[in-house]
Amino acid sequence: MNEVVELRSIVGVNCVSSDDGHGVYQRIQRALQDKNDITVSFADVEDVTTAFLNAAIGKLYGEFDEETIRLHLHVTDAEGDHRALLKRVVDRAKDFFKDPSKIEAAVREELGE
Amino acid sequence: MMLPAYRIDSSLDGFAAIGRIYTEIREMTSREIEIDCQRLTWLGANMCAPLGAIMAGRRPRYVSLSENIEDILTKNQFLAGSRTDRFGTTITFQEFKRDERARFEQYIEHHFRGKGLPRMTSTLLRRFRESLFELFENAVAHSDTRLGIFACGQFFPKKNELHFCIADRGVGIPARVGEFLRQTIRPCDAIEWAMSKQNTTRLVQDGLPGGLGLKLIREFIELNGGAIRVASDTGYWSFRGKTTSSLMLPHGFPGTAVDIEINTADTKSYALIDEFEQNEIF
Repeated sequence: MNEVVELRSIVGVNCVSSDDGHGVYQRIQRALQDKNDITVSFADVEDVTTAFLNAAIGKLYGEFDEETIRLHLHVTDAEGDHRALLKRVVDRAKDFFKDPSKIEAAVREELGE
Repeated sequence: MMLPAYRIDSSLDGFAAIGRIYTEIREMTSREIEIDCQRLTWLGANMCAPLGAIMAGRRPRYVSLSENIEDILTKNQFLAGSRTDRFGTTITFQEFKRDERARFEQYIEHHFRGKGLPRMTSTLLRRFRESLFELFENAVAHSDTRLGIFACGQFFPKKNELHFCIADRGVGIPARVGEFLRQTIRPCDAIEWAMSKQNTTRLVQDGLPGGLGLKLIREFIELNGGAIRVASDTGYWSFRGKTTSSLMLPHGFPGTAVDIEINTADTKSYALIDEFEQNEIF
């Protein structure tokens, strides 16, 4: 089974708020829990923020392992910019959930502590 | 009260003037305040956002305004009344509650899509809109403001400059960063910290990864040749080109104001340049 989440239909042309991102997260979460495939379509989406992507997708890395996400979550119709933004959010989320203390340590190092 | 400034523009002095006005009015018990503006010769319309923020919950009456300033402040709806914006250079003053994301989207749509003000390349306009959405989300997520989020902008066609300011009456960046780092930090250093790399206080707030939004805005503004100015508490931080400046305000701003300036004549493509294979996202 492959569920398709059309962002344009359920959120609109602006995928910008973390609230909207949370709604998308819940759809993906259900699919991944059931080990079903799910595709997020960015067709006709115009504005996207990291706030939305963090809430919709970044947060998944706190609940599912990378392999499960890679296997079941797909993205389609995303423009280069949106894909690049999503990639940055995903990389950031992976780092964060792998070892939050590592990021905190880096922050403190920057402050010279 | 007599307005203690001749100019209120997007600068250290402009935010210092706003901070001083707040210091003078904050102990006043009356909601009605008369502000005598006879000395004021220049008010950048985008600065209506922080000015409106410090007046939240009050009913100020601005008197002795010069004709030009009154005209601009009426066009952008900071003052009551109605005047036509013949040159299409005004982005109206608006106040939002934290849960009014949809209304903020409508506001941005109205000014930066449907109406197409000012003329910019589509990629520049999109990055600008996305930056404003990121700033609003940041105010919603981090400020805890109960007194609203304020926005206003102005286009200066002769200079090809667009200024837009978002201000909130929340806890401010220094308090948020100090709480996160569990140490006292100079307010201007706290802003520098928040604007740097991938720092975010969200690490401990709600378990959500964050910290990319401001970095992306900074990247965008650097490429565009514009500027960012942030005032929060007694901290003031600005960025133009590759130069940052961290200074202290003599009178603090009760919340956070972020002012961004972009060069609207810029024709760069603004594509994010990260390279990776399509199937490598996750």
